[in-house]
Amino acid sequence: MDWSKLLPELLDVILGKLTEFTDHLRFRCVCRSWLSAAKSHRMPRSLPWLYLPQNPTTTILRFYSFSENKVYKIPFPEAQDSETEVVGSASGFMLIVGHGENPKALMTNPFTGTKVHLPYSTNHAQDIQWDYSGSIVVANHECYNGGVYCRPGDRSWPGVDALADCWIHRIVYKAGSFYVLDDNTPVFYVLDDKMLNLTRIIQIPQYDPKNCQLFVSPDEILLSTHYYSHQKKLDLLCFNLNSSLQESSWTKVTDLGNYALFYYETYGMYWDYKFNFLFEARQHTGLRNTIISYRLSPFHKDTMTCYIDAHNLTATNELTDAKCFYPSYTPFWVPPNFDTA
Amino acid sequence: MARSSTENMITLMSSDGEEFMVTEKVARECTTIRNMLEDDCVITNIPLPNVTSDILSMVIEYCMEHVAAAEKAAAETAEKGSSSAPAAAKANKDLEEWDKAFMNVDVYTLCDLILAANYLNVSGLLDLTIQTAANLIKGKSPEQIRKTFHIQNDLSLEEEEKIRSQTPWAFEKSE
Repeated sequence: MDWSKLLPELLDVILGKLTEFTDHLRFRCVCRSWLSAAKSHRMPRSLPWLYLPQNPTTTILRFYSFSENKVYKIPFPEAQDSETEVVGSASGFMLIVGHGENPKALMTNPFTGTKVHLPYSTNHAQDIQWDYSGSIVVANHECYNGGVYCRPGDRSWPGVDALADCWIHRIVYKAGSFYVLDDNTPVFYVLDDKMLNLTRIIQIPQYDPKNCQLFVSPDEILLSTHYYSHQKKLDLLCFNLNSSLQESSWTKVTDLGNYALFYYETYGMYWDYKFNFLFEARQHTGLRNTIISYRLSPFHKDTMTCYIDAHNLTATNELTDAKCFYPSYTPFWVPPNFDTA
Repeated sequence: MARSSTENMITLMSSDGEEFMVTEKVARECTTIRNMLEDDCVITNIPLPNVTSDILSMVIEYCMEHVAAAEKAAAETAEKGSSSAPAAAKANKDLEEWDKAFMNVDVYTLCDLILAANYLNVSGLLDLTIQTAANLIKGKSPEQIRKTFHIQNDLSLEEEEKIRSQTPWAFEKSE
C-alpha cells in the first residue's frame, strides 16, 4: 500500500500525534495528499521556544526549541536597526521597537510572519510589560503609574482609565480578559478586552507583589513567588476564577498535574496551557508537573551563558541537563501561536 | 487449556481465501467483528475481503497477545483478591516491549496494518501503528520522510517552493 494514498482521516490521526508544529510544516511538503491533510489539521500547541538575542544589528531572530533540542533561525529584516529592542509577550507576539532615525514600533508573530504596526512611543523599552488580545494591546507606562493601550492602526497610546492608579508589574491576556498585577498593592485587576473596563479586583494573600508572578489559564490564576531563584525556591498559589472573592479561596499548589510552567527570571513567568494534550503524545514524559526555567551567568566579559533547567515540582531530582548559549541581551520564552495568523 | 474446547470458534477468511480459526474472545478484539457477532450471534464464518492473509495473521497475533495478557492479569487478581501494583506494572511493561518488537516491520506492512486496524477497528493496534508512523516522521525533513515511506513527490517545483518560502527556517538543517 502506498503511503501517499492513505485515507485523509488516517493522515489526520497521524498529524494528531505530531506535537511539534515544525513537523506539521514539513509534513505539508511531502506530497499533495499529505499537504491537503496537514492544511485541514489544526496546528498543535507546541512548547514555548526560547528567544536567544544576538548582536543588535542582526536581521535574524534565533530561537531554541526545547522539545526538539534544536536552534531555529528566522529571518527578520525589520530588526536591522542598531537601536532596535525586542520584547516578547505571552500571546506569542514580539514587540520590535526601533529608536533610531526612523523610530518605529511593530509587533510580529515570528512563526506566521504576521506583522502589525503600532504607534511609536519613547516609552517602549526592554522592561515594558504588555500583551495583545488579537485586537488590542495593553502596556504599562514606564515613567509613571498607569496603563496605556492601542489598537493596530492607531496613532497614539491613550491611558487606560481602570489602571490609572496601578503600578503595573505584569500584564497577561487570556480568553477575553487582561490580568494586571499591581506592584504596590497586593491585588490584581481583571479587565475585559473590549472596553478595558474593570470586571474584578482580586486580593493576593501574604506575598510581596514585587516577588510575584502570575499565570492565567481559562479557569484559574496561578500566583507564584520566589525568593532565591538559584535555589529554585518557588511557592505556588492557585485561585479558582469561578470561586468567590474571599481570600481563603487561594490554595497552595503542590502538583501541577499534566501542566508545566515556563519561567524566566528577569521578566517573570509564562504559563502554557493545554499540557493535557501535549503530554499524552510527547516523548518528554518527564515534563509532567515540571517547572522549566533558565538562568544566566556571565561567560566572559561580553557574553552570557544561558542554562535551561527543568525540575519537577514534587520530585527532588533535576530532570534535564543545562543548555548553553551566548546571548547579549535577555532571552525570553515565546509560545508558538498560530491562532492569530 | 480446557476452556478453549467449550469456547466458540470463529473462522476469519482473508481476501486471498485463507481461513483462520480464532476464539470468539480474540475475534471480539476487533470491534467490527464484535458488532457483527452482536447483530447475528450464530455467525461463525466471517469473510474479510479487505485484509490479506499476511496482515490478518499479524492482526490475530496482536489480538491473541493482548487477550492473553488481559486474562493473565484477571487470573492474578482473582487468585490474590487484588492485583499487586508491581506485578501489574511489570506486566504492562512486558506488553509494551512486546508491542515494540511487534512494530519492527517495514513501512509497507505498517501501512497495511494501519488500514487493517482501521477497518477491523482494533483501537489498540491502530494507536500503536499510528504512533509508530508519527515517530518515523518526527524531526525529519520532507526528503527524509519521502525516502522513509517511499513516497513519490507529486507537488510541482513551484508548489513546493511556495510552501517552503512561507517558513523557510523550518526546512533548514540544525546548527
